[in-house]
Amino acid sequence: MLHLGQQAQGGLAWVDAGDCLDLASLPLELRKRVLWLRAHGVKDSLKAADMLLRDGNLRTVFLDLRLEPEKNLFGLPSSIWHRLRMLAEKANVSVGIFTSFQTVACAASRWHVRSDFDLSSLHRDRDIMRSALQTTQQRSLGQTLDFEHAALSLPS
Amino acid sequence: MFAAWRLPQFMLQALKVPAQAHAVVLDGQSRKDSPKSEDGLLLCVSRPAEDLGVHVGMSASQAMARCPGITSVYRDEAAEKELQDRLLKCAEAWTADFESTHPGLCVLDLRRVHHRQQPSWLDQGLLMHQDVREHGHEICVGFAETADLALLASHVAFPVKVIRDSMTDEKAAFLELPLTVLSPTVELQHTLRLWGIHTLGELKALKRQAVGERLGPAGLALWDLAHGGKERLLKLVRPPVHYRQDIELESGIETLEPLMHVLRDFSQRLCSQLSLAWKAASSLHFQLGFEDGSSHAKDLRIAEPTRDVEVLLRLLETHLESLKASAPVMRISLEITPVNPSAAQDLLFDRGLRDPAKFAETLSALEALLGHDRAGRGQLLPTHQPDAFVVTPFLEKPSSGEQPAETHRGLPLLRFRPSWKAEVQLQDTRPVWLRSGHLSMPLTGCHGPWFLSGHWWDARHAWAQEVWDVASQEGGLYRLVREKGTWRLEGRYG
Repeated sequence: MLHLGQQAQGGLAWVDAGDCLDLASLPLELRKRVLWLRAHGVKDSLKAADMLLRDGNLRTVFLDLRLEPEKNLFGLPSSIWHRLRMLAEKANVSVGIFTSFQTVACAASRWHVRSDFDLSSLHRDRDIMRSALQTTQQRSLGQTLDFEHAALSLPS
Repeated sequence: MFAAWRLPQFMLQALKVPAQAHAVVLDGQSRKDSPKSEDGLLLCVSRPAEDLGVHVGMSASQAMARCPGITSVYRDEAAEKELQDRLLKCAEAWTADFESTHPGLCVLDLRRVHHRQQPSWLDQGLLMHQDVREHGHEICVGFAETADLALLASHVAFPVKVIRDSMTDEKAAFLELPLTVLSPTVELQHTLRLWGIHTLGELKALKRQAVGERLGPAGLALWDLAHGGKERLLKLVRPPVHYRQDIELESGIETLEPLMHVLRDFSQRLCSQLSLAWKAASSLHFQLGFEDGSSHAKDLRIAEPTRDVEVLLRLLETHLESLKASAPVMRISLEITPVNPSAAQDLLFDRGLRDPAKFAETLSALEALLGHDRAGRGQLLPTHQPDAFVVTPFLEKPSSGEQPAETHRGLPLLRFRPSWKAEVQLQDTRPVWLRSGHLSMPLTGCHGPWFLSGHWWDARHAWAQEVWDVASQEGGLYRLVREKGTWRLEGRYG
């Protein structure tokens, strides 16, 4: 997420459904241009994302749902994700939705990221660790794919 | 003609010490429980004390040695400010164009002031002196064709002196004045003292070119001042303009529509005032007073400075829609912070917004949805305490003082807020089993402990932590913290 955030141009909205963003982990340059929205759960964060996409001033929106339990996300109607995608396309905004399991059926691109870090990783260089991530692109432009080691990037 | 007003012994006058008293003003602050310091330096000396050899820069004990019955008082900056304000108010009654570059000093531009029966400058000076005396203060008034010459004249005025170009004899009085009347820099004064130059006359005797070669532009400026200065523009004192509208209502407002009607009226008036001054609004300060005595205040930042009434109203309406009041509105106040439109956009990022006004509105709506400290730019506080941060308004310029942390190493933390209560089983003082929330797992490794503490000097805010990084059997990395004997799970890495 940090790598994608650093790649993103201009302002970035970080909709934090679980209020779990650790500011000290963010590089200063990124921290300065992140609009941090500390939501009170999925409902608030979806409303916030909806407002940001309707506004269209920030080019990148991250929706961080990593701490949300499965039951909270599977209860959501799929039309919500369709609407977000439609708004994002209309406003020309890149949206990254981060979950612990496959949730967004209509995503333009879907990535599965696996990691296998141990305690020594806590002192290792981030660039080296990023290259050690196992990324699998499962979907691209609506097509289902399954190939390893593709470069992780935001849909545009 | 220019008139220069000088309040002799300004600090003593501010403290209302009689002019005939043997008194001095000491540097420092008065304390009830301790006597006056004997090492305190003298900042101001009354004329009778000066006659006994006491002068500025001496220590209090030296002054006591020369004048045993001398009264010493500490400086009072609030009283000085009050006196300065009074002086400016008096000057304002004579002309709108005046400067005040030093406390107790004021130069009035009287060239455009016309009187029906023009009295002589000397009479006008006496009137000025009388005017200030009515407020309980003494001034010396100097008149001259240039501002700097008028200032010099005020130093030889008792109480009024008029200097004209033709009065060469009168100007001779300036020669005896000490260099300090020109307010030279400390370094320059020190150099001139080493050269044996103490008075204006001694400085005037030097050649301009020689002074310029040795002392540079500052020396030349001082030499010019000693010769009466040049024609220059005054640094005019202008009262700050407030773009503010307020109203006290006879009957309370209970709904949004009439409130917006009043705010529209306010915004229109303020925007027309702004356009007359070629300014734009950069933020709105908005305040409501309710019938039950409570009040609500809010600062609304505007993404791009504007004079557009509709943009300002949209911003206010978005905020007010989310406001719940317990009683009808009785007082409304709206204040605009003006900026120069060209100089206002100092954020590169602001220019990148497609529709800044709409963005400000969206931010206001997000703040209403999530809470005022839950939408904005996160900023770490200057402390070692983990997770110490504030959320600042996103449209404000980011603080430049924030130190970049070492963030190119290690895994980022997914922080649990609030942290989860945990039970930890130890073996040889090291964690081997963790139970927290739905997690219950054996630990395969740990790093630590790291001891962090802070605010030890303040018992109420003192904190101390023992931090552990642990690895679970299924591959998860966690941060554990023990504080006051209680274990908590702070977050997950990755």
